[in-house]
Amino acid sequence: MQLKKSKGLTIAHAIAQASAVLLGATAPLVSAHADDHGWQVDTAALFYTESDSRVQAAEPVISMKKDMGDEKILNLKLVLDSLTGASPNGAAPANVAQIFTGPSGGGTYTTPAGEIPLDDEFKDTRAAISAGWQQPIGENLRLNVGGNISSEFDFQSVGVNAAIAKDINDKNTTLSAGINLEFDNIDPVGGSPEPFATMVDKVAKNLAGGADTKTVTDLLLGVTQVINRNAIVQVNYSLSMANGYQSDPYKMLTVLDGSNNLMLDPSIDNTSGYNLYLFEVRPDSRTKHSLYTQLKYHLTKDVIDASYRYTTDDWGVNSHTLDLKYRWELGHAMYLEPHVRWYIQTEADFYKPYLQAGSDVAIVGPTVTSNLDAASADPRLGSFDATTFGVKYGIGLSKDSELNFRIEKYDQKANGPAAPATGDLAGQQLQPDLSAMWLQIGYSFRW
Amino acid sequence: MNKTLVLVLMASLLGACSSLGVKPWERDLLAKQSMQFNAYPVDSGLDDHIYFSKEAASGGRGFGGGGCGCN
Repeated sequence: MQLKKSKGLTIAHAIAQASAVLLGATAPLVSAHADDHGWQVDTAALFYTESDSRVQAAEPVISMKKDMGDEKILNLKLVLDSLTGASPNGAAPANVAQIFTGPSGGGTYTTPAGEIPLDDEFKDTRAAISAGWQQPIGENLRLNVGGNISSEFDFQSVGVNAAIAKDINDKNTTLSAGINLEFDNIDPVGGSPEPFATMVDKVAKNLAGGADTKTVTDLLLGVTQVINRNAIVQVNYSLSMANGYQSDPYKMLTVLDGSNNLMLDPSIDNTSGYNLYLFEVRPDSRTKHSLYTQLKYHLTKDVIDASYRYTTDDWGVNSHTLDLKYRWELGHAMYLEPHVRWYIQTEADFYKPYLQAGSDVAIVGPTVTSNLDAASADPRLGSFDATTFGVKYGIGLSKDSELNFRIEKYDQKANGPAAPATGDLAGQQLQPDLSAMWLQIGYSFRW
Repeated sequence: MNKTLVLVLMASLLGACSSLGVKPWERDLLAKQSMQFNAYPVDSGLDDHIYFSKEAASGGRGFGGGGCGCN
């Protein structure tokens, strides 16, 4: 009996391996385990930290995959994200101290001269769950459907997606097409400011609405092509269309007077002597195109992973990303994987490190009116380049389990415009650099 | 002359295309986990989330890192 059972397993295993070989690159991992209908579980914990006591985050993840037989695969994933720290509020650093009111309107905080104004009320916890189902729907044709929900205290998102993939050319070529729909609800602390409301008026005149919404539609077309026994490439084109509220409800812009100095908010409600800051406004529609290509190349034992992405959008942001990984097999089921990434982006058309009274903003008596349709000082919309250097170490503990560690160092170098030569901003770096580091511990096993 | 050259080039390109790919029994390396495009989806998911919250561009590999109020 014992003998028969183990023989049965061996045959099943052999069939599984054969089918893995036949199915090739599209679903080999799962089919390699067709003899075992348990869960493949990937767990990880990420610790993220930024310099200058900005954002810190801890992020545990659990991802589970089960082969239900007949090439049907279920995926489930849970991500928790706990953030604390301070985030730039958009106002420019100045040669004098600046006082701001927090988003809730209650408290105030002071930024010393020469420092980037940071809102330290930044705290958030995010939970995201996603599920996916894959199954064959015809000869060499697969369907993937999925959904995801994520929630933060000021943001909720629901998404659904579907994709089909067709293998042709002896399964050496795979064509795929997919669609993703996302519905977001934004309910900021203190309400979403009316376009270009001043920091004082938002609270004093209650210029804040309730919740806002955004929808995103993504379309993706992809081709993967086996080159030879050692190489496979992928090319994806994607189109993303976002409509609705896309401003950052917590970000403002500094207004300078004709002498490039900070100026008092002219509102009659400005009894505390606040300077003039306006809440940012971004266009309510954004269309992005991206072209992504990736090569995997198997050397004698090691693997090269190279990818390049170009994106362009109607906000004026163009970007190039080059990513290289080299998986160096050390033997004894261990590997070391150095990683390098280069990224460069141009600034959005409406990116402005500050606004100028008279040209960008008209001030008549106590009334402040913007002459612009959109403006943001968010450094993420500025021009910068960034590098990431990282390394990962992994060790296989058994056929189905692996323990790995990863460290990545990320540096953004701002290419933003210089500050005016005179006045309160003179000599300041208006668009801040960013330096971040993250550590990850991962453990995968069969359950 | 030029036309002939173009035709020869096109023919050789087509020849190159048809010689791309492998036989089913030559997929041993391609079937390894390390040869999958997204070999470690948990890693790439976490990285995509970080870059989505710090850069103006996103997506490309798959659907662009949505479901976050961080950008």
